[in-house]
Amino acid sequence: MTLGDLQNLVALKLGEQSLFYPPEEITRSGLNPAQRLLCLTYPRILQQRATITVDPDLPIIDLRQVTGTDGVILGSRIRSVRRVVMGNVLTDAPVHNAVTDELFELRGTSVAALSKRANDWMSQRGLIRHYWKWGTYWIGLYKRPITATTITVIYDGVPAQLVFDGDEPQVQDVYHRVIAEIATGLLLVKEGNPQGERGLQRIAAVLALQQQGVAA
Amino acid sequence: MTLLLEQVDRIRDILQDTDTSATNISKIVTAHQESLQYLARKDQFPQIQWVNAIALQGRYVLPDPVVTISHVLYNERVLRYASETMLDRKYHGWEDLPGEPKYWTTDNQSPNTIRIIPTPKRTGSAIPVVPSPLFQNMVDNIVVFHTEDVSSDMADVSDTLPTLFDWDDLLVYKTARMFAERETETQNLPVAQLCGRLETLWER
Repeated sequence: MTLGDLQNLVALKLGEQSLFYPPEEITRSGLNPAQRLLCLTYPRILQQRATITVDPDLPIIDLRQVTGTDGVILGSRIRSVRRVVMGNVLTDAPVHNAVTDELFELRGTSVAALSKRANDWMSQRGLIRHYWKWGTYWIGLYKRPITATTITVIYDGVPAQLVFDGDEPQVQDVYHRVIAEIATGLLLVKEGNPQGERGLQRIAAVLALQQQGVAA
Repeated sequence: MTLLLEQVDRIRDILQDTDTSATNISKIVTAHQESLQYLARKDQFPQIQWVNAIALQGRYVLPDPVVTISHVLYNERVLRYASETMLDRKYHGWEDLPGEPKYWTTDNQSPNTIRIIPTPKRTGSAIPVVPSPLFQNMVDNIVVFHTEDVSSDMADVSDTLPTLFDWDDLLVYKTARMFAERETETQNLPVAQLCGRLETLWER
């Protein structure tokens, strides 16, 4: 479904009160946060990959500056890093790491753990077996690569904003109506009770959150 | 990353606020800064800062928004944290001791200031290794892993929030709740309560 279709669906669910719920509000306060909440609750719906070539002289990588497979800078669309693999595993024809000829899955570690391990961890160069994280966006390799090294980062993505009528959510079609239902619930909040309460119940129901006590 | 204007519009959507005056927008922006600071206090905005080390200079002032300093590297080596008491026991006149830096401290400094001990003997190069907006040469220089408060750069509706989209959503509900709870004629406790519950959805 396109953004236009989703707007119409949400408008129908809200009783077609276009004065109280204008289309731009449906997108801004309903559909965009709704698709993010869906992916936040079920991160596997939107796991994505990006390749990065790590320069030995620039060992600290800001993931916000990395270009995604769609050719767009990732910016704030990375929620969390799931895996980091040596080489390029974007497609069905993986490209092994040129130096070690391997597709090795790196183990995650932290700056604190590396600092305890060795005072000179940042300057150590050699066989890469770990990646470290600092917050959501900063990562690096341990040890530092000797030559330019390609890695693939597999991450939980945040869906791109829906802006134009023809835009489609990044998640599969099967979830589009779920987005519309969540959006309806979010939009009803401004009405207070009882409509807002019913809105939250709709969100909890569609996300199957009752067992976690969110609807209570 | 979204424009602060979009966040303000979403807050106004929830509050059914039709007042577009500059005073009202400014109030919302100020409240939104408060919400951002809530996340900043929880160290949710990690940052890495490169600092040019200067020979015989021990004290370095980082940008104002620094909240918590966690790790400091000098010349690509870890500096250990030391309190003033520890340094007093270890060295006489440590404030004026040149050598290869081994420790850092924030004791008796403003929150965004570090002192490295001993003071470096060399000035690090400030010439970038390769053109990059992010990083410069770490040899003989300082790298600080810290968290920051991004709210100080969010004063105008044309500013872009550098935060994860999920945080943007959380912040909208937090600020909307803040307004709906206020002891004013527009107080709306049911909406405040609903926004509070939406916050929990994003915070889980």
